[in-house]
Amino acid sequence: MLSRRQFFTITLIMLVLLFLFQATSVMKDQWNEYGINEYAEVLTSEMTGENEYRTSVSLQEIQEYDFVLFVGDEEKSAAGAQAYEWCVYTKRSFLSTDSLKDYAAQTGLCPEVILIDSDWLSLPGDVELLEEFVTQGVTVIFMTLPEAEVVEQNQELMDFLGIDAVRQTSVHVTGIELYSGFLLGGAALYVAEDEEEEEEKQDMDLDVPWYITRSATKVYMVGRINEEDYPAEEIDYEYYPSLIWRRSTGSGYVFAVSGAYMESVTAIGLLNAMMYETEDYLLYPVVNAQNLVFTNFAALSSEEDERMDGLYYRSQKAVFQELVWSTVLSLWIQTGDVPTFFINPKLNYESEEEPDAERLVYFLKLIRENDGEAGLTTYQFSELELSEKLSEDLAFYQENVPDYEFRALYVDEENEENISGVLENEALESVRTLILEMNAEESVFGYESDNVTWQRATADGFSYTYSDDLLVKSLETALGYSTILVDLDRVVEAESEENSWEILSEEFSSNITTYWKAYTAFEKTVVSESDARIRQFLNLSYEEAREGDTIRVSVENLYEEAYFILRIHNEEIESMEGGTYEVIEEGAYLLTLTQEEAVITLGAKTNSFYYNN
Amino acid sequence: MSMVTLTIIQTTVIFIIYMTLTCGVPFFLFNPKLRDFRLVVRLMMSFMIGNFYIMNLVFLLQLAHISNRFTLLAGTIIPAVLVYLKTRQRGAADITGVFWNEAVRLSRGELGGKRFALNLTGWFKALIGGFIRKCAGKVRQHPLDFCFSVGLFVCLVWMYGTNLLENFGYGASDIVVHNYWINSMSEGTIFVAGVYPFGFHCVLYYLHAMFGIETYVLLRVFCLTQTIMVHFMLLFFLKACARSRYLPYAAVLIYVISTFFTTSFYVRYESTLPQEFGMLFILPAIYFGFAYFEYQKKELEDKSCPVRSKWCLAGFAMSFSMTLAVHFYGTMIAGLFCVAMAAGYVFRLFRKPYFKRIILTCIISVGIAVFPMAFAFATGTPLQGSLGWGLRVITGSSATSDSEEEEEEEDSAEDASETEDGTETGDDSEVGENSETEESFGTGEVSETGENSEAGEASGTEESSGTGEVSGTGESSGTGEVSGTGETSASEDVLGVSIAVSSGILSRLKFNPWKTLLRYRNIFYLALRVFVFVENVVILCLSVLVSEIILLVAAVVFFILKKNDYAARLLSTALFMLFMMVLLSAVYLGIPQLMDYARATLYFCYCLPVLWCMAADAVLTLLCGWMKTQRVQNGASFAVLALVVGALYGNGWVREPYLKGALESNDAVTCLTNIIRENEDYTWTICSANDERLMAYDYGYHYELYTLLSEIKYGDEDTDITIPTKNTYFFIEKIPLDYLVSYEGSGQSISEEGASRALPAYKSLTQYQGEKRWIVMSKAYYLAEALMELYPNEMTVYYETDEFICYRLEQNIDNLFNLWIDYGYNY
Repeated sequence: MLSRRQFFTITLIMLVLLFLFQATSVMKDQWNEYGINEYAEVLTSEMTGENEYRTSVSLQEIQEYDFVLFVGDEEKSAAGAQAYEWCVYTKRSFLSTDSLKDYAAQTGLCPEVILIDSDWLSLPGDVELLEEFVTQGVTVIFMTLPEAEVVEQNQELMDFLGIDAVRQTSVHVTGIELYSGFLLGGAALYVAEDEEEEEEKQDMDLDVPWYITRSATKVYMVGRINEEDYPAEEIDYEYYPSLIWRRSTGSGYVFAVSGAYMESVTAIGLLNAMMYETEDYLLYPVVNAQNLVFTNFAALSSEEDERMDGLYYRSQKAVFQELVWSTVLSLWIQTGDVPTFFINPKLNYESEEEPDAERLVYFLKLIRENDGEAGLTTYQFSELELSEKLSEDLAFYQENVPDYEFRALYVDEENEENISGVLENEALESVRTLILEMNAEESVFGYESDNVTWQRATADGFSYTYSDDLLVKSLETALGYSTILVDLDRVVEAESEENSWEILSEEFSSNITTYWKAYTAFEKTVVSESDARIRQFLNLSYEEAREGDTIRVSVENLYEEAYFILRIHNEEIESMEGGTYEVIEEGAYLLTLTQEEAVITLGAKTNSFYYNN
Repeated sequence: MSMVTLTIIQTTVIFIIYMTLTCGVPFFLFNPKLRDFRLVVRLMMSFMIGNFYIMNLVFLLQLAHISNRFTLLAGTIIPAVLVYLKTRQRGAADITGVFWNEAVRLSRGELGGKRFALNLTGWFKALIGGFIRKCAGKVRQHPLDFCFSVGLFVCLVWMYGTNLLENFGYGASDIVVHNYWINSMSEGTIFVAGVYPFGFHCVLYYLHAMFGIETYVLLRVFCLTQTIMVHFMLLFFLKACARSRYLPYAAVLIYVISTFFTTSFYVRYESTLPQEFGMLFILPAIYFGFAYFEYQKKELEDKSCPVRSKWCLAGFAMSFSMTLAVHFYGTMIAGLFCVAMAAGYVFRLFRKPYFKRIILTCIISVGIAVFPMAFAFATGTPLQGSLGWGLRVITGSSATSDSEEEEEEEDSAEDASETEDGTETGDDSEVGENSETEESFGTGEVSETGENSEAGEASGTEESSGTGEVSGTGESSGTGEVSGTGETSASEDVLGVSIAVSSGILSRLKFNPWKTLLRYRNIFYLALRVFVFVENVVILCLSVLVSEIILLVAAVVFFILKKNDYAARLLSTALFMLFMMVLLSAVYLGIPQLMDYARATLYFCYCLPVLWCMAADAVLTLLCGWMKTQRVQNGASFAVLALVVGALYGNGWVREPYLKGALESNDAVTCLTNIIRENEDYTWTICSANDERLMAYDYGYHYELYTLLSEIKYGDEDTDITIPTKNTYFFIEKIPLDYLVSYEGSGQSISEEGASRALPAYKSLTQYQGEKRWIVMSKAYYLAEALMELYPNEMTVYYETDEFICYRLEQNIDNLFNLWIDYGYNY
């Protein structure tokens, strides 16, 4: 029998326990400032396009060995556009000429690098000129190569490029192999194991010229041939078709890229990697932002209930709450990715149904709990004027979360062109950054106006092809930046189980947890944070110099923190003043500069020599 | 950590392991059975048992192709346990019982785990404590012996250990051959270059396989352990044979530290070579022979006497067997001593109880040694070149010089090395197992005077081990001219007697006993002067001759005094030393050389302390032996020891440790050691001249520098030269060392001038000798610099000193660099 005292004690303990458990939940709910965008204050007044670093493009502003010469027309050449972007991102001066001969005759200044679009090359005369430049220590990069037949007939060009033989002008390779040490993220083998994978992932150009490189060359990427096609001979790896390689002359380097890799933004990472290969170290600024963006988060309306019910046996709202959100949560726990949600109050503005305000609050609370951010979106099923659609959305938000400042706007592909006009709407004055869909041909980010930037998605969460992987590697190498875009419209529009969220989420979770593993040193951000870092990246200018074991970096336009990547051969960082550093992978460091002047001290790799005389 | 510290640690560890295995464990196991012997005899016996067991265990496992760490471990531990149980039945039963009871109590829970562990610890403590107490007891009993032994040990470490700390590389060119043979054993292939005495290799392989000690480390530092034990075997033999307590120390001390001897005798001790390893077993074999005759007689006379003769026969069988299993030269010397012993004990030898057993023991000992070789031969393994030569000499079908032996070894070793990787590396091919001696152990420089001199160097038989420089043309700096073939006459004025030495002249002399005796005396004297002594020559030569006479006279006296055993030992020693004199002087006597002078000198010098000690002991025994107490004789011997020490130090007759240099730079060994430590196995290649190939065998790959340069020379732009490992290290000597051969420009630095010379077109080792090495290294340097210019981030300087540079080329193993480049000196 319990005594009264015992009964009282037990009851008291139970009450205390109940209080302790419930109190945390109640407090979390009550104190959740879901109505405020916690990232609204990350920008400072200086972070505007007015302060953007301008790349020099005139002959008067450049100095010898301190500019990039592009042979071609950057406006007409896809490679040229990428070359220019690369110069913008790496703060290099850019000069272009459509005739190397004229350039040599008129100026003759030696650039740091000559980038060549082979369409503008005059053979064989230009090869001699290039040879002279290389002799003077200039690095020459063939962003594109002439047709293999042309190369084969031009021995001078073959010698210059380090091609021993053109075995076949075109060969179908089974895949592409990228070797380690070139791009961040290590080696990659883009060879499908089966037909399914081939269909799903293989989107690279597999018909390539078969160049065999000679001595004094270093190969970075090759095409993998099917050895069964050549039963009579054993083909060593060294004889596989070279796709990206370098020839050393002793005084300078000649890089060649076979294929169209330099005609997309993949080029900027490849160019950075090439520059790293020509120096004992390479220091360059990066953004350091990894975004995970969910667009078309249509959890507040019920337009597609019927379809959803047929596929998921749930309402549209329940699908987003029970299926989508749980995946996002588990991913956040697993990878640390902080999500940015672009919420659609409605998909169909012709419908009379009002968005569910309670659910808005519910999701904003969850987003806040997970350090995420919410944004606006231009996407809709209906054909309402974009400005009207946005006004309607903003009115809904104003009514339910009046203090929430929406800093980000997702612009779907259809509205990309006319978005600048819409931004003039006063209701959208809080918007600071636009999220654009993925387009490998276009730049990655930039200023839309002095106050607004745009950021382009760099990967599709659901579909990750081999080209996408190369692109991601390249952008991580060059910018430390990625934005994974997960378009939840596919959930809403799914018509069969194959496209259902269960299948898609599996795909997207495995993509994110696999392909971004190598870049954990870069910071997970929401798009507003990323916006601030992009502004810092675009606005800063820097100088660096090495003396002995010390590298000194001085930065202008430093707001809070600036990020750099230091890639270094055969050495490692011993210490750093003016900031901190973190290892990305062997030979690559992410530097965080907190002061305008930073000093990095290098040393020999530790534990490399155990015994001494 | 410095390489010196590492070398000290490695040497110490190897010494402790080897001594524990070959001396400590057998001593512990067999002590109950050997209790009736003196301590030195027990130590000798234990040492023989240990070595004999390891050698034959490895032989058996290798022939059965099941040799690995586990079988070796099982083959070591199981018999040891069985022997322990057998030899210590009661103690073993007690211990087993105690353990069983403890284990049962533990399993029942009556005994806690911690208590069980505590009991075990206590038992081990008691065991070790008991051992220490016993050792301390022995030390207390014989403090002076202990002090002198420690002193001798220190002297040996000083004399022969200093070089180890100064020169890390192999001191002899043929060590790489042994390295190769041992490496092959790791792959389960014994007799890889043909049937050859492999006892030495078995022991080193055992240490390598069981304890994971790198073979190249063993070959670098094991020489000190081996040399210490060679000297201690000499000491033990003398302690066991002589009646004066301290004379052995004096004799051995003179041998170790005096300046009297030519360097050629002790220079070999600074390398890990089988011939010297074989010396460990010569004198124990003789002692066990002596002891057998003595104990057998006692046992026949007194049945109650403890049975020791069988152990002696077993000891003799093991020792003699091991001389044969390790190196035939050791067997020759032991055989000569056995013949002398047979002569000394002729009065007992042919008596039935002795003869049968001795013959049976000889057959068994030879049989044990020959069995592995015969088995391999019968199963299709050809004879190694030098073995074929040895057999022809024994059967009388050939009486040529060692040069033929070397050539045959060269050929077979070369074949073996070429089949290894298809690349002719020349390391083990150019210099056969024995051929290094005349080159690397010659006392002076061997100068290259042209092509002819190289030929002379390669044959390596002409040079003298005298004190001065030796040229390739066969001139000696000794007091007379010496011909390698014995055909050229030499004239010398020795003690006022003019002699003409030639087989032809000797055969034409009319027999005159006195003149013949004088002539022989002068020949021996000449041999001693030329080959053995370099200081106080007259006195020392006389001392040898006088000691011989003393031994002969004393033997007669002791026979008369019925001290037959002692007399027989003296007589045997005297006769043996006479045989050795003949062996040493063969070149002057015009008789076939069974052994080249350098090796004969080595053995002769090793036996000189025996001669001197036994002669002095005979004198002291004659003077004091009649006394009832041993103290006077011991006192006298102590006085002699003090006199010797005083004379050596007083007159400055103490030599400095000989630093003989190495055939590989210290920097190269340092780099190699680091490379092995730093990299995963088989992810790297060393591109160097020669020695590293076999040193790195179990861990990485090797590419011959000369091969690379040749391929570049004879290649063109279409040539593809790749080295398929992630890291490739280029070892380049900025100041090329003289690999056995010096030349006019010795010591000069690599230069454009050297690189601009044509790549020498020689095979095997010759391309790394003399000026050719300078050319090769110069070219290699400019090749490396050119590669560094082409691949600045991949080709880096890994290690550099004023004399040496090591480059590292890091490459993508999926797409290798083509090393064919035009570096400006491709021709």
